[in-house]
Amino acid sequence: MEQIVLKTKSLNKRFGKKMAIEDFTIELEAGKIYGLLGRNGAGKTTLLKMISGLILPTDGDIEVFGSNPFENTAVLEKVCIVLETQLWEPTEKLANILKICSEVYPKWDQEYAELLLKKFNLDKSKKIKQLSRGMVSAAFIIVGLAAKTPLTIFDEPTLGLDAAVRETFYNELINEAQEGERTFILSTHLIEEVHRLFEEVIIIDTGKLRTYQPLEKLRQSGYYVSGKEDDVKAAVEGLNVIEMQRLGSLAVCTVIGDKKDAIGKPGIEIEPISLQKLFVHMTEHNKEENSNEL
Amino acid sequence: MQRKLEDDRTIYQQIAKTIEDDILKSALKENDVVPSTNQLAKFYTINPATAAKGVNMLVEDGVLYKKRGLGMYVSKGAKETIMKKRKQSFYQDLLINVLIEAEYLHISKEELADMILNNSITNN
Repeated sequence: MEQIVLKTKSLNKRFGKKMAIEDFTIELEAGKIYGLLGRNGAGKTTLLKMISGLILPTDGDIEVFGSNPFENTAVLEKVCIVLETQLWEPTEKLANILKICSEVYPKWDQEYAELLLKKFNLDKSKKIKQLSRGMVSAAFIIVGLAAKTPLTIFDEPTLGLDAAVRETFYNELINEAQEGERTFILSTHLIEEVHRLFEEVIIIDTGKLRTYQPLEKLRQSGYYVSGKEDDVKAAVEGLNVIEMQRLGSLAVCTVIGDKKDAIGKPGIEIEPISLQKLFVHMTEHNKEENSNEL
Repeated sequence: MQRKLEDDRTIYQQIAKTIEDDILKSALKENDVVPSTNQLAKFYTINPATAAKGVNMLVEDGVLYKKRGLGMYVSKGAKETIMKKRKQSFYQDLLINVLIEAEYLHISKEELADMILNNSITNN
């Protein structure tokens, strides 16, 4: 039996008249890397802040390691959240931040933190305000990694990071996940670059849970059909076509469903859909603009 | 080792296939150590559990074996095991596409046979 790390039930969060999170029910298992995907303003950060006990839900239940996380030290020392916007004072020195973290998180690994400082080329005597955007991101990635918390949340951690540093981060994340003792939630807009790291994908759309599936299953939920327009049209008749692009007498259709429905039909080729395409489809609201002619 | 994953199969199937390809090409020989799941995960930027699933699939097929604490190694007869399995899919996955393409290009069966017989790919 897999251990449940996190459980929410009918979670709601309202800001004034706006429902930021609505009827959100989910369960996460220990030892996996979860990808949290959503458009800007979809409610990802609000959800993650509730999970890490930083804000209270309007109603509904959250259990993290079996208890409500809000103002609960026993839970919060097991959860580390790295937010896009940091809560630290700009005048705070990096060394000081690391020291405070070492007191907050019982499993903090100072040696690992020092190693990461070197890998990311950071000087810990610097103050936050003396660092570039990318360096700040790197600094808080160090916090998330070295905290060694059983649940670690990275909310858009790679902002401003160059490709080399992102790669270092992914490699360290793989190392940490390898042992199977840490659970990670990673929210990102770099879907194509990162999605293969996920074991499960959570897509959130305007505050609601849109889908929650293993990556492999999600990747099978759509496909492209291409070929001569007449062949393609015949092949996809009656299927759930979300987009059709034409290129001369050729056409490519994006279809949602099992590709078995189209396999074997004459004159067409079938290709797997990209997760990014699927994501855009699932979170798009102005469907009229969907069919673009080339 | 193949540099990129192609996307059409599941990721763990692709991992298994790249290792199989290396064994077929003799880049990996019997009793050679294969890349660890950690190395595979980093190389392809994939989830380590997914990498492990691909490797374990090959253990189940008898292509790899595990030395406790050391890693995964190529089994004796692995190449033959893979060849036997791949031959089964040779017709439906590969040859059929060649035949379809030949039809598009109006290449007759005779011409095709001729190409095959006179082909000079060297067997290693």
